[in-house]
Amino acid sequence: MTQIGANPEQLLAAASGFESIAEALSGAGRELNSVVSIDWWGADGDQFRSMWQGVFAPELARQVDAIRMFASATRAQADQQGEASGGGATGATAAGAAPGTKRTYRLADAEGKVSTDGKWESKGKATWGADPNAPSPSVETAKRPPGPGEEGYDRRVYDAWFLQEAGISAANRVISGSGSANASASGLWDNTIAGSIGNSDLGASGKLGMESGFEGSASASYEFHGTQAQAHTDAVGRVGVRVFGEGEGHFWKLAAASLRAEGSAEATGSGHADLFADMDRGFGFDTGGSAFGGAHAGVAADLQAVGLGAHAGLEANAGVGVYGSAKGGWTNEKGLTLGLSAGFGLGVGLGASAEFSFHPGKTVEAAVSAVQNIGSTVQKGVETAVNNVVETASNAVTAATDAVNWAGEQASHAGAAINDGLTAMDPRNWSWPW
Amino acid sequence: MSRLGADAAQLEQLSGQLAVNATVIDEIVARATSLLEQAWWEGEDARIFREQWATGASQLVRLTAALRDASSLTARSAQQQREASQ
Repeated sequence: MTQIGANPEQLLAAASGFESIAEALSGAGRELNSVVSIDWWGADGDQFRSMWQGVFAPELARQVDAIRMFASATRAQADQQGEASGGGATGATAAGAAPGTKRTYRLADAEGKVSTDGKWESKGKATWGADPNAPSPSVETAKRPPGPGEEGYDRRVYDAWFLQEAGISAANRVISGSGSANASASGLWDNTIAGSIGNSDLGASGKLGMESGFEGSASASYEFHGTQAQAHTDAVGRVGVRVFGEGEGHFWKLAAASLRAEGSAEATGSGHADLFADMDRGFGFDTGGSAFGGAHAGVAADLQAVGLGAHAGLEANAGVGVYGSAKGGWTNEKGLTLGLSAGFGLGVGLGASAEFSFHPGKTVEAAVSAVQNIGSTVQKGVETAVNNVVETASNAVTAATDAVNWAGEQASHAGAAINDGLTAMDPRNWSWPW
Repeated sequence: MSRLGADAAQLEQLSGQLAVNATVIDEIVARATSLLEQAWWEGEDARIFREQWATGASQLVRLTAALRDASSLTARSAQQQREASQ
């Protein structure tokens, strides 16, 4: 039952091809019926007539029926497949048809995606649809000759035209419709090295890195309906690289300094081309492209110390761009038209900035904080020194006290001696002999 | 070979019509055969119809051969009749 490998549009084209064949064969049969029944007498005539009536005519009719049945089975098959794949009639198509009469059968859909290590990926998508009801092009070769019953009718000429017409319309129905394809790819790589020395109080760190990436996409589409065709293609690409470095140093909370530098370069390009043709009106094209390349470099430095802040920066930009376009065509009304344009641009920019700040409160705070931090470091030394002094002083006091005590003792002894001497020198206490 | 009742002009016209129809049917057979020979055309329906068509096409080819024979016969008869009537 299933037509493996066949799609609805091919089936429909085949069905209409077989229908036209059955029609042509049936017409030939009718004509032969009338030919053999005209006055053609005699043994040869009779023999042929009996062969025609007994063998050939029934066989011809059988073939006509078989072809018609096969055509209608094929048509039913096409309708089924059309409905099964993506909801059958997948949307109306553009380009000048009466609403509701155009149906596009989606014939092919493809989508893919590739990614490697999450760093780059590429993907693509393609669709193809056909319009089974596309009108036949009114080309000169398909001019209708006189048909049966008309003046100048020639069976052979008419049948040849009929088959040709059927072939053209079948082919036209397969080609008619629309298709599109797009693909894109992108990637990003980055490498960074970083290092540091010291600790949270006193130290420095640095980083050096590079990023590079690209992205690009391209798409193409076409539409074809009867006598009108249009095609569109475009592509855009971008590639860039960035290099950067930064360094930083700090000295407790007293001072910090940083330096950053970076440079980058980028280039983009894009282009498009549109073509359209109308058998009745003319044809035209519109194509253009542009490219831009730019570079940027910058350096910045920051310094902060106890409430004082300073910043300085310098940057430079340069860019160059080109574009061009061409459009033209031929129309039956205007004849030949052609337009060209192109441009070139160049730009350079430089910038510098500087800032300075001072915050008294923060200065005191920072100073106190710094003193505290520094104090904690020197406290021990001071304490040790003071302890030493106190201890020495204490020892000195003890020694002095001992000395004073001793001196007092000696003085006491001396006093007693003096007192003894004075007592001895008092005449009243003299011991007289008398 | 009887030639009663048919005049030369009638026979010549008949010969022409038979030849034209032979050519038309030949073309139809060729077209249907090529349509069926397309590579994508697969499946049970197509297979059965191809077999049927192989038989039908050979019958139609026999028909066109007979039509051409009849065409030459009538042409010859017309010529003989003209010669006899002179």
